[in-house]
Amino acid sequence: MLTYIVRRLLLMIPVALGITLAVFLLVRLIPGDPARAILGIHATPVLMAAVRARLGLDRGIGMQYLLYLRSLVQGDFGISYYYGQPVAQLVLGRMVPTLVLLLYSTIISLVIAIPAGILAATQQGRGADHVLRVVATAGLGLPSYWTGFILILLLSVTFHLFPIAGYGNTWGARLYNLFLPALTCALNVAPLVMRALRTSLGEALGAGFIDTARAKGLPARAVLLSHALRVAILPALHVLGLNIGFLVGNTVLVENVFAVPGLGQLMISSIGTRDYPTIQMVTLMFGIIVVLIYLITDLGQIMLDPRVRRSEIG
Amino acid sequence: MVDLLTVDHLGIGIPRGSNTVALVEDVSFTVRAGESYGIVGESGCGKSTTIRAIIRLLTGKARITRGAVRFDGVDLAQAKESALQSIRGAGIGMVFQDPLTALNPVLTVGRQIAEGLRYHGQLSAADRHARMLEAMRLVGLPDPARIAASYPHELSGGQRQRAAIAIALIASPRLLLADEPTTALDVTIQAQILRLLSDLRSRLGMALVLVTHDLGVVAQTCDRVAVMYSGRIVEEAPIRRIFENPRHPYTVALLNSIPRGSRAGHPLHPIAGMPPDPAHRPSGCSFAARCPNRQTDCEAVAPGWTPDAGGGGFACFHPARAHAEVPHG
Repeated sequence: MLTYIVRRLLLMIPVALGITLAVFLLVRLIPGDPARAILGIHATPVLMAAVRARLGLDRGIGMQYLLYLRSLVQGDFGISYYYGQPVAQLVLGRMVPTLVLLLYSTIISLVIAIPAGILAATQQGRGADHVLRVVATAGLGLPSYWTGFILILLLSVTFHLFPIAGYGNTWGARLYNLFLPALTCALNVAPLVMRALRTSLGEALGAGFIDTARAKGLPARAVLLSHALRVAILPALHVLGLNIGFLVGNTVLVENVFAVPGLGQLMISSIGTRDYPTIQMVTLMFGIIVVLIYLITDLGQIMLDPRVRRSEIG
Repeated sequence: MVDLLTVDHLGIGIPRGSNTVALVEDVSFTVRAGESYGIVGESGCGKSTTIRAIIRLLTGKARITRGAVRFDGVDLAQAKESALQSIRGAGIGMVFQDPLTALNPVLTVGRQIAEGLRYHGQLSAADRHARMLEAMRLVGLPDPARIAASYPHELSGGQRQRAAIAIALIASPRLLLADEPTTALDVTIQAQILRLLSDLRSRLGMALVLVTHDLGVVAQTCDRVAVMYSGRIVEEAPIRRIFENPRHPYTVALLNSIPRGSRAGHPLHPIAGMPPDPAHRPSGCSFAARCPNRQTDCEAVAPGWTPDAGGGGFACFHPARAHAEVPHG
């Protein structure tokens, strides 16, 4: 087990390298000049050249990348052009809201998807199943920045149930404040999990072991929950794991809609200011988060499924 | 002996469009306490459907359309789901054909065996565990403690079928239904499982209904046998009579089609033709089209039931002669 985890962690190194290269090149493709963003539109060319030289932007792009990698390896992630403070410190402060939002929306996704998937699978071909299919397709198709605004309009502005935006100082306030953003993210992911569960549960309910369970005299609830769902949940969780990247992408949009002070908001604002070190660090963090979550879901899969438990780790 | 299970004019159908296609028609038989009753027939004759109907585990849209299934004074054909739940496992246990799919892949074998006891009786967790280990010993699983903690994929096919039998037996049913319990197993394992079922039946004093397509299995295991063809019982007899003096031409043909492995080069006698599609059964005898004894009256109406002197009976206008030489067709 430990060697498996170590092997997976080592595999993160090439992934992280790939991310740094891609992001390094992409940020430099954005039109605009960091020196201009720092100095404003009235800056003289001489001043601009001096700033560029100080930031190291006057060197060749290959050289810039190698210097960036060298400082990365030394644990130096650079100084933010805009905030003037170490990027690492800046990013760490923004990590918590994003991680909380991710976990929160994952939980809400499951809370929505599991009952809905059970209902759809047990009512297959009947009314509830058709309604859920339409709702799920809609949920999947609507962009989160749009559903976010609709939820704000409906639940915050009209009914005053939730705050429009913000984060909060206590954990209670944070969970309350983050409910709408988390729900917005969840509405995009829950349909995927629900549809996977509908399929896998439908299959499980027709399996031979269900006959065995019923022949024991188990009540219908026990047959459904401790036999069919126990097997069917595995592929559904797998689909959830596969879509974590999608969920992380969504948090970037949703953090901006709801003014959540997380990584996504930092990312968008630093793209606006051409704050290269910050953009690079935030993107690298997102990449690492996604890869770590994949690892966690794979480990979860191994824990929950005895059939892979022994073969996978070997 | 006391009648334990009475299946009375049972009909099972599946709705197709506005019609109902009859899968099983007018099946009646009685199983006495402690006896071993076999049901044989080729694939699709309705034998599995019939025993699944007994504990109301029909697959898909199949429904009981008429008749009664009396067990313990209760008509299972009419019983509510809650009444069925208390009878399943505790009154009637069931073993299925394929041990590869009959066990839940993500639960330990021990948990699946002990589980039935949680809903039958008031045993404590420790007592249930003890009973579980005892049941595993009873079905001949070696090292019960270790196997109880294993998952189904870690067991061999024979061990899985033994575990499935333990599941069916744990709540001490008086009747065990076995739906082709050896078909999916290797030949050597088949013999072991059959011997186990026979042993358990006599040791525990329970009755056994064994469904199979293999008359050899019936010969080893059963006291009485019903032969099904195209959704009906065409002959019923004590086990000796069916082999010594079969009356229905289908039974005769079935006996002739048994491969005799001991005599090399002995030709096989398959039954020519196919059974009719349940949706388009002829108005006369369903077997007429394949029958060597066919005469014109066979195609007009279905033959009624003729009781036999030694118990049982058959449904045929032109049966093989009593105590006659088996005709070769």
